[in-house]
Amino acid sequence: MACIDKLAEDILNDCVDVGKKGLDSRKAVLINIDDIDRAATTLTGATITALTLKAGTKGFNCEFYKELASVNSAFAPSTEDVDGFLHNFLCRLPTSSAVNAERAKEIANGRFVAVVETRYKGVDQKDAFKVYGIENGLKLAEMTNDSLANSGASLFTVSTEEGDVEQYPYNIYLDTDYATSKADFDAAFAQA
Amino acid sequence: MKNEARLKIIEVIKAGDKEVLKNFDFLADEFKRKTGRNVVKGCRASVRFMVLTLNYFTTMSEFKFNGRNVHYKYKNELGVQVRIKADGLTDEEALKFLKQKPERISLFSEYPKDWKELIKGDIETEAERIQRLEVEAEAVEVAKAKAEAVNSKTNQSEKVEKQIEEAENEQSDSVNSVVEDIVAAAEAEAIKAAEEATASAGSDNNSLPSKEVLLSMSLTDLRAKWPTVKATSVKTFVEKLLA
Repeated sequence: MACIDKLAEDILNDCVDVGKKGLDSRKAVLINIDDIDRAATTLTGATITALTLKAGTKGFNCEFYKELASVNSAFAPSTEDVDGFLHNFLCRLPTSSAVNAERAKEIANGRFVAVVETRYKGVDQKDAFKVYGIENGLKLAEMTNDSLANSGASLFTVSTEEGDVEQYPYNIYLDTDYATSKADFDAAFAQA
Repeated sequence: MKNEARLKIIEVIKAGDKEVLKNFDFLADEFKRKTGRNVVKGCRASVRFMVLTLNYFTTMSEFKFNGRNVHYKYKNELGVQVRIKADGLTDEEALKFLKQKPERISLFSEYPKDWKELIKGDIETEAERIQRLEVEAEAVEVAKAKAEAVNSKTNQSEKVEKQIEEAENEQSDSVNSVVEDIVAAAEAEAIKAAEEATASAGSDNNSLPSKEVLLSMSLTDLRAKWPTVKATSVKTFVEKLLA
């Protein structure tokens, strides 16, 4: 397949379709990358039209309040490796409890895909859900816990690992329409 | 509520008021079984209440997932990715879901005690039942159309056979008449030749062999020599000849 190295369409500024910042739903879904059924997951360019997990698995909700979770990506040019984008998902474990200590250890050892719902939903709400780390997963890059800051919460960032890149700055999750995609997101992509 | 009774109630309620009144006794029995209350047929409000209550009971599922607004994706028996939701869950959907993998019972907070027995039989959702009835109706119509086509073909072939028979008869008639003409012509010629032979042999009448000689000849030879004489035995032939 030929490389995409030319612009194919205009970059428009539509006053009806304006940008918005922030995440919605007060939660993100973290999926263990090994639980993704790659054969049944379908992508068309940047859009994931079916995100299917292995039978009996599900994603896990990572809840937050206010604006205390975010996602971002950055282009990473390389003289030696393939150029691409680095993805980041920032969130927090709200309390310094035993349960959250277990979660912290699991996050430290795991590799995840993060799905979020942004406040910007696009035309016909088709761009509401963003997926980060679908190709290579996100690994823990940083976690800090300070009893004097952030109400004792543990802040963490999972990122694209060094040496890996993603082909798109973010992927869009859209299975049929917003309602169907929202139902999947709310159910944390649980596969029976 | 048993599945058959439930499906019948759904069908009757969907069909409208006429069907409700037609099946009133059945609905009233089911209503009494569920609520312990009687229904007065003449009272519209009572009948309406019965219909609403039965509608509620038939759409209510005995299965409940853990948690509200739960939604699972899974591959059905055809390998197609489908969804099952807590919202609007029916017993049939839950049973099909469990029949595929009974260990999924852990996803339910409420379920009937005999769920293991229920998943053993054939399970058909309302949508599948409607689809099955449509397919069966279509199959019946196709079979009817085929039978009609076969019948019309048979009639056609009978007609054609008759026509062929008639044509053959005509043909055989015409052939027969030709044959008859040929035979008649041959006979006429034979008669003519025989008359000529008789005329030429007329003078040789006195030279007829004796009776004993004639009687010793075969009928074939006699006929060949004297074709105008008709007889079926030598004795009769000789008598006629000498006469």
